[in-house]
Parts: sequence; C-alpha cells; structure tokens
Amino acid sequence: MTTAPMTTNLLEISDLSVTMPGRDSGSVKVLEGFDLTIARGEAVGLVGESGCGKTTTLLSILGLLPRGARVESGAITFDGVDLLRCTRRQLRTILGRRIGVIWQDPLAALDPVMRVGDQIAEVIRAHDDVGRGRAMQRAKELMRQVEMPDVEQLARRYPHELSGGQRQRVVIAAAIAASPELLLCDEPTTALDVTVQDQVLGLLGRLREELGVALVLVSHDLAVVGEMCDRVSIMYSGRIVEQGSTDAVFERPRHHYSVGLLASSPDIDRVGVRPDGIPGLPPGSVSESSCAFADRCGSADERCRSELPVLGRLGDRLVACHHPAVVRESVNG
Amino acid sequence: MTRTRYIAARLAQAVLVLVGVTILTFLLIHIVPGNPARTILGVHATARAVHELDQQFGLNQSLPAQLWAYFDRIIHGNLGTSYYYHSAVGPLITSALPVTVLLIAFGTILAIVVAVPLSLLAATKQGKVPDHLLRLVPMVGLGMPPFWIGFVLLILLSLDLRLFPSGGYGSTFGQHVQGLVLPAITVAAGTMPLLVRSLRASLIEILDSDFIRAATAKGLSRTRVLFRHALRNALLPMVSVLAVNVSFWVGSTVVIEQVFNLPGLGNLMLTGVLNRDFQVVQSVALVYGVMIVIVNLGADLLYSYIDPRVVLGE
Ligand SMILES: Nc1ncnc2c1ncn2[C@@H]1O[C@H](COP(=O)(O)OP(=O)(O)OP(=O)(O)O)[C@@H](O)[C@H]1O
Ligand code: SF4
Ligand SMILES: [Mg+2]
Repeated sequence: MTTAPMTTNLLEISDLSVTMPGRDSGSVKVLEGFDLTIARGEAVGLVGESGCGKTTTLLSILGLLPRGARVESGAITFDGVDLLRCTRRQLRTILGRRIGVIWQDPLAALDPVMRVGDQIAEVIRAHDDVGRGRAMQRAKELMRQVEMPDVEQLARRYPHELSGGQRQRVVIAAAIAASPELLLCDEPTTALDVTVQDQVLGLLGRLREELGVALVLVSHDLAVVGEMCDRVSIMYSGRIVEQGSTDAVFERPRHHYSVGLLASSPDIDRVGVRPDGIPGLPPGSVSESSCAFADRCGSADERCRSELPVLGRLGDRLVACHHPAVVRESVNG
Repeated sequence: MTRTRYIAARLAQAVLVLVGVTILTFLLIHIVPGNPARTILGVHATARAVHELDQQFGLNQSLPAQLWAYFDRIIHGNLGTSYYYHSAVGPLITSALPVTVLLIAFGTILAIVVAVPLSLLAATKQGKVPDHLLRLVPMVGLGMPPFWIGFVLLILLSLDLRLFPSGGYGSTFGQHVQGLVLPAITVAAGTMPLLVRSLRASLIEILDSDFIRAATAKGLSRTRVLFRHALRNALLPMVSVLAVNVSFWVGSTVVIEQVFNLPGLGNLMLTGVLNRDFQVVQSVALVYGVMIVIVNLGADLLYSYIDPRVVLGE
C-alpha cells in the first residue's frame, strides 16, 4: 500500500488534445482538454453530433490515429500503463488482450480475404500460446457465445458471405476472444439493418453482464445509451460539455446542447435520422475563446461569445456552460 | 461449385481467344501485300517456283478452305517446314521455347523477390527518406530501355569482371542458368519499377484501411499485420500488373536475346523475319499468342484463389 496507489479506474484520459491534418498543410484541433475516466465494469456512453470527435477519442486510446493526426498533450492511462508513451510491444500486450474493439462498419473491419473463423482465432493465438486447432476450437465456442448458428460451416466463410448482423457478431467474438477488461464500441449498430440492431444490442448487454467488462459506447442513439450506460459524456465540437450519470443527464440536462439533443431524440434515430434537430451546424474547429455552441444557443449572451466555459461541477454532474439550463421536471413527459 | 463455374467460364473464354489468335496468324500471310509466295521467294524467283509454292501453301484454294487446312495442320501439331533451316518448325520451337520461358520466369521471380520488400518499406515509411529514395528507382528504371541495362550489365559484369558468360546458353542446365543470370536481371530491371510502383500504391491504400486498424487493435504482431493482412490483400492488383507485364515480355525478349545471344523464341522470330522464313514467323507468332493466353488464364485462376470475392463478382 505504499508505492503505487490502487486505482479503481481502469481507464483515465486526462487533458487530451488531438489535431488532425487540415487543409493547406495546416492542422485542426479536433479534441481539446478531454477528460474521461472509466471504472472497472462501468459502461460510459459518448454522445455527440457527427464530427465532434468520438471516433478520434477511441483511436487515441488505441494509438491508431490516422496519418498526420497528433496527440498534442494529455495522458491516457490504462490500469496504470501510460498508453501514449509505452513501447509498441507493451501496447500489443494490451490491445486485443485487455482492450477489445467493436467497430462501426463490420464489413470494413474484417479482412476480406481471410475466413472469419481465422480472424477470431488469430486474436487467441496472438495472446495465448496455443496451437491452430485449439485456437479454432475456441473461436467456434466464441461464435456460439455470440449466438451464431451453424458455427462449423460459418467459421469457414469469408466476410462477404455473411449477413451484416453475422459479421458484427464475428467482430464482437474477436473483440471478446481474449476476455478483455474494456470494450470500445464505435456505433456498433449504425451499419446494421434496423431489425438486427436490437439483437446485437441485446447481445452486447448480455455479454457485458456475463463478462463484467467495462464499456465505452459511442452512439447516436440516446435510447441505447440510456439503456446500457451508467454514465454519459455529451460531446460538442471536440470537448465534453456535460457529463454525469445517465439518469441525471437524461432527465435533467443542464447544458443547452444536451437539452436540444434530448428534445430532438425520441426514437427518430431508429430510422437513421441523426440528432440534428438543433438548427445550425457545429463549428469546424475547436473554439478557444467562446462557447462553441453559442451560435446555436438560445441563451447565449456576450459572455458566451467571449469566454470559454470550462467544465465544472454543478450539483450531481459536470457542465461547461455559463448559464446552465434551469431544471425542468421530466423532459420526456 | 461457383468456383468450378468460374474456371469453366475462363477456360471457354481462353479457347475462344486461342481460335482468334490462330486465325490472326493465318491471316499473317495475307496481310503481306502482293503475292505471298513471290514475297517469300524474292523478285528473282521464276514463275514456276512461285506457282509451286502457291500450291504448297494452298494459296490457290478459297480462303475458308485454306483456313480449315491450317487449323487441321496445327491441331495435328504440324507447324510446317522452315525454308531457311530446311527442317520441321516444330523441333525448332521446342528447343527455343524453354529458353524464353525460363528467361521470363527467372526475371519475373527476381523482380517479385526484390519488389515486395522494397514496396513494403516504401509504404510503411511513406513520405520519409527510404520512400523518397525508392521513388527514384522506378524513375531511373523506367527511363532506361531494358536492352541498355542489359548492355551495361554485360560490359560491367561479363567483359570487365568476367563474373558471367557474355552470352550464349551453353549445353548443360548449369550453363543455362549461368547464361540466364544477366538476361534475367535485365528482365527484372524492366519489371521491378512497375511492380514497386503499383504495389507501393496499393499497400499505402490498404495500410490506411479499417481492417488493418482492426487487425492492429487485435494486438497482432506488426509482421503478421503487414504480411498476412496487408500484403495478402495487395496480391490481387499485383497479379494483374504481372499478367500484363509477362505478356509484354513474351513479345519483347527479342532484343534481350539478341544482346545476350540466347537461342530463344525472339531470336528464332528475328532470323525468321530477316530470312523471309514465313513458316517460322507464323509459328512463333502462334506460340506467342498461346503463351499470352495461358499467362492471362493463369492470372484469372490465381485471382479466384487469392480473393474469394472474385468468384462472387462474376
Ligand atoms: N483522417 C482524417 N483527416 C483529417 N481530419 C479528420 C480525419 N478523421 C477525422 N477527422 C476530423 O476530425 C474530427 C472528428 O472526427 P471523428 O471521426 O472523431 O468524429 P465522430 O464524432 O466519430 O463523427 P461520426 O459520428 O461521424 O463518426 C472531424 O472534424 C473530422 O473531420
Ligand atoms: S455557454 Fe452560453 S452559449 Fe454555451 S451553452 Fe451555455 S448558455 Fe449556451
Ligand atoms: Mg465516428
């Protein structure tokens, strides 16, 4: 109990700033002062409009930012290991083994010329010293665990020979193959047919209970986040604008963006409409000296346009707003 | 089942093309302006000799009858008689064919062996020093005609350093291989830049794709990600480039065979043309055609094994 303090947090992201290559060889800030902690077994939702930096956050954790992107500052610590500064070799013992990823587009995330069974088995072989046969046997068990039929036959198929839902199950099987402690899910159902979205979400929920794995769930679907996540972070233009328990934030949103997001949400997402019921567009780059939401906010004043609101505690949550919304009783009616 | 259908379709296509190629070589004799027999025999030939040759070629028959006779002859393996060598054309081809095939095969294999690691290096170090250096190589390579590279090699390694024979094919297999080293390097020097260029481009695209990110996120070794996933997916475009390139070399080893004095098909073709040895020219052209058809058929079959989606796409 003397040297390394036992951290209860599995993942800690603090003050993360990321730039992407912009036009004319410049660079654009897409993530600024981003903080997020995830406790063991906890499920956290990451919600925000397209382009606000959700995927960038996940890729930063994995060290897989696109070419030209840079982490300008900050730290990402996984169970005490600094992911931004550890060696490639060290990172490899964490990726796939302790952190699994479920990708948005399963067809793109699978190697088109490798049998799906092999794509699951290779995770096992990368982290455990087992033979081909044993790994394949385990891969088939995993396929059954994610509720795939005809496993013997499907394991020998190529990704293009499976349905969208089956492909995502393969991706999930590969993600949980080495029993990770954390699952990163980037809009795991957006690319799927509406009919299989619920099945895959149900599966994710069950797996989470069975495996006790922590979850970062990126989603446009507020209903899904409300159902699956303990806490939620609402992102706007590269920053977290509101963060708290899902119940608190969803029932009594205090940031005006959260208010608009929740008001425009009721299930329209299910038919592919994104929560953009708020008029106007998010700014292209992270703002430094004003509230990024000011142009679209009904409560904006001079201060909002000249001073950056910092994320601060407000009762049961964190909010970055100069004039937080007054609590209305039961937004959902 | 689908693959069987795919293969059957490709084979049928190849047979059709072969028939076309045969007809083309048949028409060769009629493309030459004037009386073919006169062309072959020269201006000083007697009318009687010309007439005899007409008879022998069956040139006085109708075109369809001639074509039928030609097909019949080819199918029975009769490639006619060479005027210059005074012997059947068949054996001439049988002895020249392996030289050219080996030359192209060695050259292509050499090009692949060099191009794959270079392309991987360039693609993974995109925009850095090794990449910039490697991008100069194709420029230099493409800027020089292959025979010139051949000459340089010949002068440097054979005449100056005496490392290799300066030409000839020898009579034992060991001598064959020795004699083929420099010519094969010349073929490789012509192939390699094209290969590096296309392989580098497809690798760069593949390395930036989602499934490579996904593979890395699985915690696989860099080697496995590069070879088992990236390179494997880059093979398909590579086979296309190789098929085109090998087809090109089939008709383009003439110069290289000349420089290194190799008794290959190109050499046979050239002597045939120079000596108006019509049967030889026609037969070599036919063999060229068959080789190109086989190369492309092979490439098509390879596709279906490399990429399971190809079969589906039919
Ligand atoms: N490869 C790239 N090069 C340049 N800019 C990029 C690149 N990838 C993302 N960006 C920019 O970074 C910002 C954040 O993108 P990100 O993909 O993280 O958004 P997101 O929240 O995941 O959006 P979506 O909901 O559409 O997936 C966007 O402004 C985007 O334009
Ligand atoms: S800081 Fe101002 S502009 Fe931004 S959300 Fe709050 S009230 Fe609206
Ligand atoms: Mg995204």
